Amino acid sequence: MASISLLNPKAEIARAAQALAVNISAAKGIQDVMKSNLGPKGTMKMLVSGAGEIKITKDGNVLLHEMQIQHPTASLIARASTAQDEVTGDGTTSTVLVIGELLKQADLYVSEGLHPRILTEGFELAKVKALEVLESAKIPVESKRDILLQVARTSLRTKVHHVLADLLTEACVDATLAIQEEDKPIDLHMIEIMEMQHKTELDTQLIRGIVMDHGSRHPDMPKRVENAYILTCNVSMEYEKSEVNSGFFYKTADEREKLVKAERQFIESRVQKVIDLKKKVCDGTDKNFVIINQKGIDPLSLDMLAKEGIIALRRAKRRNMERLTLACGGIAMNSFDDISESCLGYAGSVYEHVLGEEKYTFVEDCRNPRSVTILIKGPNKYTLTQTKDAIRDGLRAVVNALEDGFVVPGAGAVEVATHKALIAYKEQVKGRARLGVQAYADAMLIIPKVLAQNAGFDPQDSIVKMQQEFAEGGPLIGFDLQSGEPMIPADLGIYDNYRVKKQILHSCTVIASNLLLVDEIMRAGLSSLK
Amino acid sequence: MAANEVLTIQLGEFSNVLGAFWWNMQDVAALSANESDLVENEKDQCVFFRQGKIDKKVVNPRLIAIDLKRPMDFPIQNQEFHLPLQEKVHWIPGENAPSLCEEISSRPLVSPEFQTNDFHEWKALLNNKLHPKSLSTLNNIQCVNAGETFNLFSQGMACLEKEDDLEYIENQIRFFVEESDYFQGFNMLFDADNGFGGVASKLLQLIKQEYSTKTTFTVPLLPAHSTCESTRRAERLTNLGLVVETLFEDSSMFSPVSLDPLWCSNNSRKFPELQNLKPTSIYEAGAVIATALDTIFFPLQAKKGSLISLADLVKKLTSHGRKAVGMSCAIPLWNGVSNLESLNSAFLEATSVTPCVENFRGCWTQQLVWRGLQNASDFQSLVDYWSRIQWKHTATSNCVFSTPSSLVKPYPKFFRDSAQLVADSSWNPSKIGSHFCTFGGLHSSVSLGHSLKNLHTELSKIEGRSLQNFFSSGMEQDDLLENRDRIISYAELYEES
Ligand SMILES: Nc1ncnc2c1ncn2[C@@H]1O[C@H](COP(=O)(O)OP(=O)(O)O)[C@@H](O)[C@H]1O
Ligand SMILES: [Mg+2]
Repeated sequence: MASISLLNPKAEIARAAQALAVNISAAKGIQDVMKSNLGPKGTMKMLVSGAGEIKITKDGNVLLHEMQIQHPTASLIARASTAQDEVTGDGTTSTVLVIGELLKQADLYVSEGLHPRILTEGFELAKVKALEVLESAKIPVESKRDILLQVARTSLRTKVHHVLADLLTEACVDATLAIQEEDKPIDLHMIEIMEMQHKTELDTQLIRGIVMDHGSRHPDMPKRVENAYILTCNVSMEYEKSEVNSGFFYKTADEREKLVKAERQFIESRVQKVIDLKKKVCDGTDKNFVIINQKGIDPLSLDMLAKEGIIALRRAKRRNMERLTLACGGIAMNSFDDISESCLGYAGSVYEHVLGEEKYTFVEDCRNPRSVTILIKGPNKYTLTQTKDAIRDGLRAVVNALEDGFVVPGAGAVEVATHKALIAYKEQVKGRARLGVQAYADAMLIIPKVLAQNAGFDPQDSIVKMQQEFAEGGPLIGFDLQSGEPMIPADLGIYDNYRVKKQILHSCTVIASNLLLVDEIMRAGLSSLK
Repeated sequence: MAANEVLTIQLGEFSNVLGAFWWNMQDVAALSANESDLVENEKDQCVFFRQGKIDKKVVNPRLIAIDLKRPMDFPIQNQEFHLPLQEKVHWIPGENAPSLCEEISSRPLVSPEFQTNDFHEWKALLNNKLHPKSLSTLNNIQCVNAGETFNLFSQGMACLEKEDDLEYIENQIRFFVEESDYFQGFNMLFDADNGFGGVASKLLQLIKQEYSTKTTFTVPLLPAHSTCESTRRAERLTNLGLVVETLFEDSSMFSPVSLDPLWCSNNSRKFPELQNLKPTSIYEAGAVIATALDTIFFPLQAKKGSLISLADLVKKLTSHGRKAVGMSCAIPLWNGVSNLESLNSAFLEATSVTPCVENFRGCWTQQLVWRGLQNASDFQSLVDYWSRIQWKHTATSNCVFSTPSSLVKPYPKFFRDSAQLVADSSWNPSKIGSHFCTFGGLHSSVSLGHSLKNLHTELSKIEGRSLQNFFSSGMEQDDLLENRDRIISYAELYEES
């Protein structure tokens, strides 16, 4: 009996062989579920919630988030894989597949009596070697836009239909290039993603400016202006019934009335300051004036502004304050005390778009927008969500490539090269740890195998073709999912993110080793389970 | 002048169920007001409801309801997931012991009481259509791993830790505030004894920051549990302690409500007219508390005379930083309140729904609402007179309305059957359902200090080892000790000077 049961007789345990069996079968189980989703030819899964909500996806990360995974080991793998997504934004399915395969390969040796510890030593050696291969496969992102488009396209085509993927590719790359600033980390928050349930997903577009999901609240304000000054601010323009209105403090209705008036006047003078500035900069020119306020604007204030032909939006998103000044220029004001022309931004056109109950305001034709909007369209909620998930991933792919400065060939090319290098390396490894290297090498092939399989080709056959084509010193060889023939990924522009591949090697090795080294699973903790 | 809009925020299962009843009741009152000349048109529905901007006939609750995400089923392959594992693996201990994963999968996300009720989701109870922006689920509860529950205040805090997750809810709030012309504040109902307490805390901080001039009235709710194992009880109390601190710091006023004797053994809530009421059923308890809220909130929507704004209500009831107030109600209010004598017995019917609080004793200020009384103005002078004699040292405001509360499907059965409840034969039940009189009150009284002291005493009895879950979620012992000290200092606010 295990010693733990002396300390805590309630602890439930599964020992050695059984523990390993639990882990391996869980890893295989989750691998089986995810397998069919890998690559551009992967199939979709449809998820249905209790409330009838539908999600159709092939994105590993979405799947793992939505599925109810109860098995402890499976959920450990799922967590490793969602962590992969958090760090790199991609590679979730691959993570699950590689962990599963590492354990599967290991199982062959363990069942023949090899100690898991020795295998994990081999894994560690193999990982170091694999990282070297990855290093040597790097391709610099030189002629920027081209390679960026290719890496984004590769990623997006694994998520959505290729027509939509190609459309989104341009949007993602151009959006990122627009907000990128010399020597500064890229802040994706400066790309607003706005959803509009309208038309189809193919009408999704990049707006070089800001789109807001509300309009002005006054019927007389213009619906469209050109050539507009933009005042961005966070100043309350609503009269709050504070002290004054609460009856008890004022003896006479008269006295109360007076105070209400004074308070009201205070707000009015604020509004007047804006109007004065508008008059100064616009009157006698063809310029117009738009105010976008993070705070409230009450109907009386709206009225005053409307009379001057000013468009006013209230309660703008907090984040839009920053976005607006990046897109239009100007400064976000916290008070109107010393506003002047230099505080104002500029937009070539500002207009309202009404869709049923919803209103949108477009602030477009900015001079040098460093904040932009991707306007997602789609006929229904789930298409919108699907498109949005894809755009997130596309943007991440572009940012990764820019930050890494490198990409690596996709389509299984790196994996086949790694396999080959590891097999050669195995000969130099002394002792039985080399079996670990062998297992690792074989596990790498799961990616090209599944890619081929999902495209309807024989996995074994495809691997052999690739390996034959791949000569020492020659270019890396991937698998063309259309023709079923080996090809050079760089020729077809199939690139993966460097950091995604790197992270996969790191995290899969760690998780697989940990799972292998588990020799007891016990239910521990306080008896609070029931 | 147009209505002063209030945005309601509901957090958690109990609050959402309760909210569903509340919205149902409110809607019918409006209907009857429009369609029947029996009821004077006393209520402005636009305080709590929003109107479509283009289609004015579109009316839905001005509401954000936040829920836990229900896991999506993966219909076909889900089974493959665990089945083979169970076949292959034999667990060593106890022959019949359920396997780890079996047990994990059988552990419910919410406490079992919820499931004894015969509905699956709160939305099924709601008669109103919701605006799509009204619904929100907590997606990123990383802490709620399979089998883990959303039991802790700290989990709630953690799930809104990431800027992006908070921003999502922030934008929902913004949507409803933006379309309001004279927005006055927030009404927040939340489950206070689980992770939603932490969510509420995060949201209150956000609201305080973004809408500093607006008023927030909150009702922390504690669903009743028939049994509660000691660790869980310790956790619930600890959550509540943290919630109380949050509310004193970041809300304008709050009134804790529960039918559960969580921290006072003598807190058995008796409703003289509702003998069959099962406090542990969130369905029944929800309906009763919703009725109380519907009564108490009526003056905020009054069309004339007794209209009161949230800010005024708060100012009236929270002098000296006494933000906690007690809530009482009589459901239904005995029909015949017409003379001084019957008023006496009416007050005997009033039940406190705030734990450990005797609302009428040592009360400084109170706001009382009477509904369903036909001669409203006569009654008003009567009850004002009575209050002056009865409570010499209490500032009492009475609001009397002729609009009664309404029974609306799916209101619990026990209530509907009792024929006496139909207030008066002049209401035509066949036309607009049955109606009944109600009483509700908010009170600032000495006794809240006692309640807080009791809470402190109970918190002090908790042993560190029952709070293991808190500690592993990143909370420190010192935080909790500090929290207990705070509770005492809040209690001291209620000492008579
Ligand atoms: N056009 C293509 N032809 C062949 N392989 C591709 C192609 N596009 C992507 N891949 C490969 O598909 C894999 C990524 O598939 P994906 O479904 O995105 O899974 P993950 O969730 O792991 O990112 C990568 O190994 C990539 O090289
Ligand atoms: Mg991918």
